Amino acid sequence: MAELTQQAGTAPATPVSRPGRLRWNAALIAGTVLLVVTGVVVTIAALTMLESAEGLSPDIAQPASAAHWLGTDDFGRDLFARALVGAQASLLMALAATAISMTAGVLIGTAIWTAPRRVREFALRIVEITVSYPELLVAVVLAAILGAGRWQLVVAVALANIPATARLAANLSGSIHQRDFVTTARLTGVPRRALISRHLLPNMAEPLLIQVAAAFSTGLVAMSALSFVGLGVQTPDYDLGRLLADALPAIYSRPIEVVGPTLLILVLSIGAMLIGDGLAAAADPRVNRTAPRTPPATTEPRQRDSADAPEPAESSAPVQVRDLVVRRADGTPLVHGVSFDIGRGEILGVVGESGSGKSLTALSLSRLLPEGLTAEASRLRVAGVDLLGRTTRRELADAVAMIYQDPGTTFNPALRMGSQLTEVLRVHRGKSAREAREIITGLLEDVHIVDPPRLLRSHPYELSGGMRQRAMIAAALAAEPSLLIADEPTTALDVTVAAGILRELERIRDETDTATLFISHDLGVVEELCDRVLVMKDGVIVEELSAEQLRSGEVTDPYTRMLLESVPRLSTTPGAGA
Amino acid sequence: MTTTTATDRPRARRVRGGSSWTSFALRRLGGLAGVVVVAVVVTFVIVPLIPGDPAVSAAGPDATVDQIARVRAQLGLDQPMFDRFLDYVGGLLQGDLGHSFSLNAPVSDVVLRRLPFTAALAFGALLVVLAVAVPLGMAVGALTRGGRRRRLDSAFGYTTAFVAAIPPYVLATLLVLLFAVTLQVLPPAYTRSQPGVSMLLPALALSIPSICLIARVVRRETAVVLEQDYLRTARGWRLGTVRTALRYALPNLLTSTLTLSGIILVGMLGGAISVETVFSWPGLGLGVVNAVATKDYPLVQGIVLVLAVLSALMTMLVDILLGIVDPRVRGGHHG
Amino acid sequence: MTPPSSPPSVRLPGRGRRRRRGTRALAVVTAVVCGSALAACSTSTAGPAETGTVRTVLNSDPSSFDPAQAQGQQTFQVASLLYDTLLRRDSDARLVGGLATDWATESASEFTFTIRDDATCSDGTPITASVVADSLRRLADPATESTWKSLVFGLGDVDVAADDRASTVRISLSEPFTTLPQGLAIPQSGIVCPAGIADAEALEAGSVAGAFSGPYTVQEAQQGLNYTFALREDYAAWPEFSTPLTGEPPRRLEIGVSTDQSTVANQILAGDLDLGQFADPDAVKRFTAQPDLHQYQVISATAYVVFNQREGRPFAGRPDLRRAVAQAINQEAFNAIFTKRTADVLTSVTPASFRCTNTDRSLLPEHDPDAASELLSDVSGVQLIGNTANRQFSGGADYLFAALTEAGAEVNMSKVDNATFWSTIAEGGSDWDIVFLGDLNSVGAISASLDRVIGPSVEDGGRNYSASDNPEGEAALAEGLASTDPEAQCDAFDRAQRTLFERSDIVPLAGSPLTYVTGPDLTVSVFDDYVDLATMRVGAE
Repeated sequence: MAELTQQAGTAPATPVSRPGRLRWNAALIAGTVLLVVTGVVVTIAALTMLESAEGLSPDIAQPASAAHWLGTDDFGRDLFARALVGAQASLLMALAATAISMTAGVLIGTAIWTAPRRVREFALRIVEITVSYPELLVAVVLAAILGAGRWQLVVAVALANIPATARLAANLSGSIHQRDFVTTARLTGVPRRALISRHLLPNMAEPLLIQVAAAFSTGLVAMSALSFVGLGVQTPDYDLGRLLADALPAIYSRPIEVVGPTLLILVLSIGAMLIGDGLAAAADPRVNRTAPRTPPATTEPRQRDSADAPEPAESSAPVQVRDLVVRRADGTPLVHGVSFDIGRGEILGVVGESGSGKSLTALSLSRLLPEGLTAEASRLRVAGVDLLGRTTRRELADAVAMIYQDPGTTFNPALRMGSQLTEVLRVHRGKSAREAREIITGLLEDVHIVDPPRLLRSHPYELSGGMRQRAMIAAALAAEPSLLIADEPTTALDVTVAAGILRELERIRDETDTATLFISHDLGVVEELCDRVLVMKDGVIVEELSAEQLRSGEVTDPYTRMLLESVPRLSTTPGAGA
Repeated sequence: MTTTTATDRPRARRVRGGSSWTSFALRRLGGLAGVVVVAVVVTFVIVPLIPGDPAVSAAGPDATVDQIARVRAQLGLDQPMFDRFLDYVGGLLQGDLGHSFSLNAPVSDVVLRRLPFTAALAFGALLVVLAVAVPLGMAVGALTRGGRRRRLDSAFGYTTAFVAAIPPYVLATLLVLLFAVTLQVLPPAYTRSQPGVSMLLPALALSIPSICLIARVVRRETAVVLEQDYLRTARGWRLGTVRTALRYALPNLLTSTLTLSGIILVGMLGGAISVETVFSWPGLGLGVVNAVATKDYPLVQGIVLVLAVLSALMTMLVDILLGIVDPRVRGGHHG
Repeated sequence: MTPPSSPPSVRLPGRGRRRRRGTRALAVVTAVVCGSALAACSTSTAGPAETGTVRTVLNSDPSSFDPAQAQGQQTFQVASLLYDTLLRRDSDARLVGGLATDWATESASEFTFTIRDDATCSDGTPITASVVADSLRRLADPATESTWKSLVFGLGDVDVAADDRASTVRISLSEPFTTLPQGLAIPQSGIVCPAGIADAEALEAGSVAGAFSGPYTVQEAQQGLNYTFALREDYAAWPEFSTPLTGEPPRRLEIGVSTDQSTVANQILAGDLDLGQFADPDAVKRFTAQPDLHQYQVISATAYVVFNQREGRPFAGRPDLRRAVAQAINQEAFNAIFTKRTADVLTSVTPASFRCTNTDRSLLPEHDPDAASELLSDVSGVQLIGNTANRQFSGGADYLFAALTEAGAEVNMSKVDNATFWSTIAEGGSDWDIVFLGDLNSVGAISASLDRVIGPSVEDGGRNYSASDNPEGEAALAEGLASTDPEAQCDAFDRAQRTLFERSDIVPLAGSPLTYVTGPDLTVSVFDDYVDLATMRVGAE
């Protein structure tokens, strides 16, 4: 929440404090071009068109013509020239206000974090308090105090904007401060000023730049709003706000007077917004990622390759995969025709480095391939459900359940565990909330959760990784799936916890006849748990081994050997437990 | 075989504990008190800084020097600053915000009369904003996820940027031009006999820019949420698009959306200043503009104070709502 | 005259632009339900012919409900609805009886008024000669501190005597002041009933139900929001104007507050308001294609340049410089900006409709920028104060600034709001050299504008902003005010005006037009440049 609140509402993005080169994108380019071109045009206009913009002339209240593109006003002044010259004033004023508020805000925000703790806490409270006053109201009061005029308006708008910037800067520097390199710098006695300029500011650059764009466009609009209510620039000085405020009452009789200033405000403001957008997008690669046109993921039947071996005998295994190919949207295959079976109560391990296609294979089986990938196969069946044909959600839920690597985010942080864990039972089994709760409580006990009711009341963040993973297994079992896919389920857990999870999987194999597909890059784990192992590399199965073969090192493929040798054999206890 | 390790016990912290709520609420109330105290001091100090002698304005254009002196005494302006501050605070404690000389009425009466108008407008606009912006942003976010439908994405991006860039009072005037003057289907301004109908245009004028801003945020957040692991989990449970969206995507968008709507609501109290002027909407925003114009110093003080407290209240309400929606906020993962 | 009792005739709105709109407050719901089919929800608000209610707005709240404390033209209007005056203005600069049926100017300082016997206060108290005299004494009492005392009674002492048996009130002044009858027709001299005099504070707030002597009472005063006035059932003291009024007075007035002229224009065009007042020519222009609406344009104020002639200021004792300023200004160009040529340029301090106003253009210097710049190019540090009360005044000040700057003068303009503007020039020692006034002459006599630039200065208790030293003009003004013979009076006022031109004390600019627009059912009477809102009538021919 803290990250969002600071964004002053305009260009919120998740601040990513990763210094690096600016990644240009369409919005950024468009906004910059818009602002630069407008800036150059209005600056030239302010130098050359002053006389027609400000001098009295006898051509009063003329309509638009070749000589006066937007006509003239009652003083005989050219409205087009006035709009341009006014825009130059607005541009400079908005830039000045932005510069003042950014400088002051950043200074305050970063200084807070280099101050002693008491001072810091107090200053943070003050900043919080000042942020909760409406900016425009503050600007109105300040403008009333300072009186009408250009610099007064700049100061009023700038001061009103300082709290928001200060808070952003304080939050940013707060989060950076807790990082190692700053701590190190502090411990090694880097002076405060150097700390700010060398360590803090560069890491805050991107969100602050976004804030600059936001401050500029809100400042522009705020200044014009103040002019509109009579507190801004007063004639004979003028900016866009003044021009607009004066022209607006005539919109019903002489709408042309409104056109110039409105367009210029729009152009400047949109330019700033686009830059803000562009910066935000550049800072946050998750959004606006350039991806080719990506059709939704599909799974399709595929003709058997003629080069392949003849159709094998009808298998009775619950999980049957034949000639599975996964392609990117541009046709590049990522998995090249993989075939395997998993028997009832069998744990099949799939190992390989990242990018070997092991996860894609699993995702194809669960029909959860990411956008833009297509899977084809000549056969893809789980417990009689043909995954190549049309399936209902319920059939799928009954057929396949997944357990993921736990980075702490596999559960919805907004819902209590009970609500999430019982979801499958309620949606697919038509159980009442109470029944579902009872069932899941039983399953949680089965996976050795000590106090299931308490877990069900908890939110995910209140649980440890091990507990979450056990809960995940319970949820997966709730569907009584024919195939359980465990995709690196222990990778994120520490060794003892991981061992517990592995024991649960073993227990499931022993107590139910669920087929399990266990994916891992850790041969040691696979060796301990699995009945059979597939080794994948570059989308191809390079070797199939039994657990015994693996354990005794009877591998033929050099890749498998390499994998095997790279396993640090510390945690494994060969022969134990088996 | 007992395999449960110590780390697998639910950590004994903040599970629907009464204490977490109490301390959370206390923290928020403390913040509110801070805002109020600062507002009281600041309004007292700042308003006399407004140039122009309030006694002169109060006494009227043809007043003599003696008359002005008498008015000054009446307004208590001849008292030392500190005494005036004590008077001011003492009055506030009794609900007395002073006396408006331009209106010849207690400031509290004027504020109470105008407050419902501002509140109705701001909340009405906020409802419109949330009702439109959240579905819109989610829809666009979902449709354009992973870089799909780039044309829709940029159309949405540019349109919302364009509309949000229109100064609110220009937008208000354009709305009047369209709905009240050309189509003649809505009242152009506050009409005493039909306050509800005449609120439509101002609420629209106030909400459209915010709709654009919030829809952009929701779109962005949707894109982020859709990439989250728990959405993959929900998809793995085959919960269906609607259930997934409502139970898994929406609540996680709400945190950021609510946070933002708090800011936007507070911003609306400010934005109302120019919109209320266009529609002669008798709210506090127009009130403060008129009071500044007439140098009605007690009235400026009163309205600014009330608006400040109101925005602090709003911020607090949003915080509490956030605490309900997102338990992490309550736990002090904040700031 | 009995209050209107006939049921209002049902009139369907005759024009498409006044469609019906929903009368319920189910705003948001309605909007959501209506969605795209907005038009289906439209219903019009009913006008005064159906409801007897006139809806209007003021551009600010009334400054006070005590007529003696009223400030600003619209507060005067409010006072005129609530309080009757002894006399009332009629067409062609005539006066008719209000609370007085008859009056006699016995000398320039002795006046007798015969009070009508059928008038009552809003609490039923008969308005006797003593009631009238008490109210006038209060106005004249220095303790009341009414700024209108000097405008009504002059600067001297006032003695008011009542004779209840004869129903007469006799006013004696220590200094001759022949405009007294006109003064007793201005709303600020409205008669306050005893209940109001007894409670000054409540009177100011409009909360004394029995204070009113006029046709309306304050039914509800929601300061800062709106006001409701109700026609008194028992009111019968309508004046007999030379052209008798027809139709019925509105039974209820709903008065809101709105500063935005375009908004008010929109509301009138939408049929949501029945009366509006417009200073902005752009707003007025929008009514030209609306034959059903009534428009009344008056010159509500006059614009003329005033110089600060206090010692040490650049224009003090420099008639040549002041003349140069007059030469630098093009009246027509000013008028184009100030009124968009909807009003006439002036040849004095008052509009031509005022008695004794100079119409001889040759007394004014011609526009001559070259001659002007010869003198003005050496002038520096001139403080010009501009009033930002509205676009017209702000634009006018911009023009003055541009004209003086083009003539080579080094001018510093500060733009201030209306309140600051007036308080600045009303304060003797403040920093200004040149302004143009929007002089609102509520009495309708030229003397009430001449004393803005002739006679005792503001810091000496007078009304002269310029603090000019013009004994000749002062004598002529006093002579006019002491003259009971209309021709001799005009002659004196004419001489007073000539001194202004000889000394270049003023630069006449243009009239400040105000246009009253009323809905199709509503009319109002205009007497010269004065609109009397108490003559609003519904359904008049």
